[in-house]
Amino acid sequence: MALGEHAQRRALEQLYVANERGLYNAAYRYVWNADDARDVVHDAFVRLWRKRDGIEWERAAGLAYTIVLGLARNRRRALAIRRAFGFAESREVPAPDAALDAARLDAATRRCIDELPERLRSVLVMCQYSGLDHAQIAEALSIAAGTVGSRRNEAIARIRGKLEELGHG
Amino acid sequence: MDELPDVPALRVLEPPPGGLERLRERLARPHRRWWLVAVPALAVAVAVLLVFVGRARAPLPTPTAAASALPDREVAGDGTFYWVASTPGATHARRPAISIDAAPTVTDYALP
Repeated sequence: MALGEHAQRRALEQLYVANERGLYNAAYRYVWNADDARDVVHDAFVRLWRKRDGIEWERAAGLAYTIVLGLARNRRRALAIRRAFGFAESREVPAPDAALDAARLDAATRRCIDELPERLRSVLVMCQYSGLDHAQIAEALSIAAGTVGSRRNEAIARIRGKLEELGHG
Repeated sequence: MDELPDVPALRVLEPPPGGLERLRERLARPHRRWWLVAVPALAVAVAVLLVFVGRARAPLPTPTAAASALPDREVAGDGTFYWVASTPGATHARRPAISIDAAPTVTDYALP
């Protein structure tokens, strides 16, 4: 049965409150910036609101992640293009000497995540931050449930291997 | 080995505060359908462009008959004068004959 607009609004806000942290963290691992990550999450909810009549709110968390990951990828590409043409400054912040090692490790980890192929990255961020089970993640990403675990393990192995290569093992 | 290393880049972050309020503001803003303006503007621009391109490419008028030189012995006494036209008319107005006469008498008187 279709909900009234007021009930739909309440369902949307409940979905936001329940998933804000996970969605924000997933988006953050694409754009590496708090403002952009929050904007991506809000853009996703604006899209959900426009599609509200066709949404089953009880099962909409996976859809929210699907939209957030798609928008985060687009935002990341747009930022890369803007940086390439000098329209956006680099997000790299020089660290003080005391925090240099930690900053290097942090930068190396970001680079490892950035270098992951999309099929591994999306599974990793959803497993790490969404709180959804493998079946829900598989549904959101349109892959088999058994693939989620294997891709997650592959992503972690690649990150660990890369960090060891860089001397942070 | 199936856990990620504990590094800041992978730790769970708290989203900036006030997210729900900002989302409510976003949802309260009217949804501007940019394409409602962009599509007609683009259509007008394309139409103007097509008109200009069409004009630039408009074919020059082509003669309906092969160019020919029409001899006319009445125009010049020595040799033959040719009227050249790509599309000669069916009829020609009769041109006055040219003749060479004695020069008119030159009068020489001063006006008062």
